[in-house]
Amino acid sequence: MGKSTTMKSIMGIAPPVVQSGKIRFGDTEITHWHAYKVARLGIGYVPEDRRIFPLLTVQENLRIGLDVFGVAKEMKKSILERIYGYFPRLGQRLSQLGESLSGGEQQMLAIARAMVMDPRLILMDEPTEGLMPLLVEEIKEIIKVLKQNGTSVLLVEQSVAMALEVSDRVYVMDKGTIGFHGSPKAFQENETLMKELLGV
Amino acid sequence: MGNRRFYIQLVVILGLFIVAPFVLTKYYRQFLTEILIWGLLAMSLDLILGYTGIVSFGHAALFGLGAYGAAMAIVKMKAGLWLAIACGMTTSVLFAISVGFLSIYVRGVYFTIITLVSAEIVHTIMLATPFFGGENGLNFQVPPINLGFVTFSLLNPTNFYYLVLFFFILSYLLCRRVTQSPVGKVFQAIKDNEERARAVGYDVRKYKIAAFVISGLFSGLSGALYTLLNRYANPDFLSFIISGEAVIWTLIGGMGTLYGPVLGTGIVMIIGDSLSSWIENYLIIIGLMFIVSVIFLPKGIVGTIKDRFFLRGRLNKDWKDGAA
Amino acid sequence: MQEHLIQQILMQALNGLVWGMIIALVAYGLSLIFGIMDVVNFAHGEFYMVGAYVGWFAIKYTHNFWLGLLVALAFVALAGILVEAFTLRPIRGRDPLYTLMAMFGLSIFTQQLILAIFGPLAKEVKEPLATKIPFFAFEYPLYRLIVVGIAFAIFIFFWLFLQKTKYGVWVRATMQDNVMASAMGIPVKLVYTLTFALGAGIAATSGVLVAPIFSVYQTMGLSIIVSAFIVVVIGGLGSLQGSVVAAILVAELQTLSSVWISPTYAKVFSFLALIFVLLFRPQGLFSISKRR
Repeated sequence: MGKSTTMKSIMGIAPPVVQSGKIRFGDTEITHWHAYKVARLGIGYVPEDRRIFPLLTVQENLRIGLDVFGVAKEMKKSILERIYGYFPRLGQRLSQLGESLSGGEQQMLAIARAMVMDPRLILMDEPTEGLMPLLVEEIKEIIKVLKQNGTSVLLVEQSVAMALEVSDRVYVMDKGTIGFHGSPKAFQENETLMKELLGV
Repeated sequence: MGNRRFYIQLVVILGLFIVAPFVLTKYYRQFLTEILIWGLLAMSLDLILGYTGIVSFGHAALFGLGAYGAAMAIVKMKAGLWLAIACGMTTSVLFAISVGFLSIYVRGVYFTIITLVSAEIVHTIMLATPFFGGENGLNFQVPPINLGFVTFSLLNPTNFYYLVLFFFILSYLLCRRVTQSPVGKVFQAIKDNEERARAVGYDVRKYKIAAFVISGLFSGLSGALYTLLNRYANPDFLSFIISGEAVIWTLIGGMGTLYGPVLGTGIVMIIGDSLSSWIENYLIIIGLMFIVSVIFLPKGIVGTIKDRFFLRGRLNKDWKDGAA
Repeated sequence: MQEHLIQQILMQALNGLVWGMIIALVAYGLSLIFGIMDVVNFAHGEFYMVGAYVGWFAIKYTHNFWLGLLVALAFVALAGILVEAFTLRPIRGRDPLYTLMAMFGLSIFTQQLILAIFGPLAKEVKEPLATKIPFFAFEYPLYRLIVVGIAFAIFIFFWLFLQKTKYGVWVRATMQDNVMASAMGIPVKLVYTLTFALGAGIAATSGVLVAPIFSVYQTMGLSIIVSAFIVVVIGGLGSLQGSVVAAILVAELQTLSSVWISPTYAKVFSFLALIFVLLFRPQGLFSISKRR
């Protein structure tokens, strides 16, 4: 409860109900910033229901992120090549409209277009929801790649198992407040938590 | 308890209105009569705009058709007063039903578009059709009030004033009844959240049509009274400007209160009247006032005043209860 | 006798094309603004009208039709920016009811303002070129064909802009999902303002183009918005191609029926067409689904 809202608040797209407290990214306070400023600061967003642009082609969906920053042409090409490398299926469907992609492909596109902006932080809201195990594996790989490249990932996940596998720090949210927070190992050693959340 | 206070207030105001013709000059007597007639139009618009959340930019059609209905009855059928008024209201209601039915097929803003478009079409038709008097409209003699045992001539403006006052008070009480009835509550529910009202099980379309038709009833009455006042009906009665003024009066007065729009009518008409002695196109100022009001005073005069009083009360209560 | 009728039909068919383009330009701006900002601009007809008046004024003093057109376009586009910033932006989050009313109020205000400044008499604008092109058995003013050409050029320009350019993609993205567009770094507020200004500018252009054909008068905005609304309901609000196609259809209906019935009633005819479409296809002929 409240995980999505937290993400949306960071991104600046939640309804303005932040009554107290601040949101800080590095040294910058971004509490009431509009989404596009947050995005340009270097925070990418992969929303819960994917929300890729249905009537734009895959390529157009991807290019938005690039064009926003006025990146040089050669740079654009190399960035896109790299992204196609991570998402070969997308590379094959460049001129297809967003709405014609399958659910899994849309999820990949949603992640890819956030990555195109080379953000410092990517917010991912339930990226594996409703996906086949094979695709879940692919997403785990992507997250690992992101971590390797130095991008921080804030992941909201229902699947505790997956979260434990890919993350370095875990926060458990209950009724809008943070309960447990620590390393995955500490989480696994915490018997009460494991029982409550995993039924182990 | 609130009811008794209401009736006391009503009697006082009614008393003021009854006494008015004796203290006002001829000009202002006429002016007050017009305020009541136009106020009735604004009140009818409030039923759909302020209570049900339907925006109509074509109320001139309902008003004008009420006028033409009455005028035609007198000119073509030599109708008496009551029949003429009834014909006017019927014409307006029929139009409201037709347009209302179209609303079944469209959602939200499309309906507003249709109110505007259909009003203009009616205007065009009346302007071009000789049967309805064409450009010049219809002229007639006003039939007297025939109560059976006594006849009043309506050429006497004071008699006419009381006739209008009678209909105005009657309409206000009826409208108030409607807004406080279960049906009225559904109207407000629709304004608040149409989806929720539908989800709860109300046939929203039927209620919206009903609201529009009831509104048409009183708009038609307003138009019928207006044509009787002027002894003519004219395509100008169907013009966009009238639709606009009705919306302006309703918002500036305070939507959703019934009496607010009437107050708004009075205030705007008085301002317009004083402005018109300096500037020919005083509507510019009124239009500007309206836009400013939409942005800064969306609840209108009555609404904003109400807010001030209630807010103060509510704040005090919260502090006392120790709320956070 | 038959030949005369055929001639009339042909001429009205051409008139319908011209008139259709005029309406299409206005309807296009209306659809664009709705598609981008979810605002039904009830004052849109006034951009058309003000464009015509400013154009008339500029033409009178520069003695150059095309220069006058550019001046009118720039003026109204600028006015559009101001309207968006000072009237629409402050009330953006509220119940859409208020936006409708604000624009409606603006419409009344503008009509009266123009009336006060320019007086009630209609203004005449001369066609920039008086050449007539022979067409079957009659001659048709070249100017009107040029109007069609210009309108087409504008639509093609916009199509190219939206489909092929970077900013066009921004506009389309904002139309489809303004929240995510912002989350991708697109300055959505700026897109709103500029699109609104563009829509206003197109309407103004239409107003100047139509001036030599039908003259300039204060209620021309009201008159065109009625047709534009009919078009937009038939074509589906937010569908740009739909507006153009529906505009030509509606205009042809109006002009062709005027061969047999008076032009006033011809307009009523197009309204009947609207009702017909509403009864059988309420979402419009071409409407697209839009994410809220």
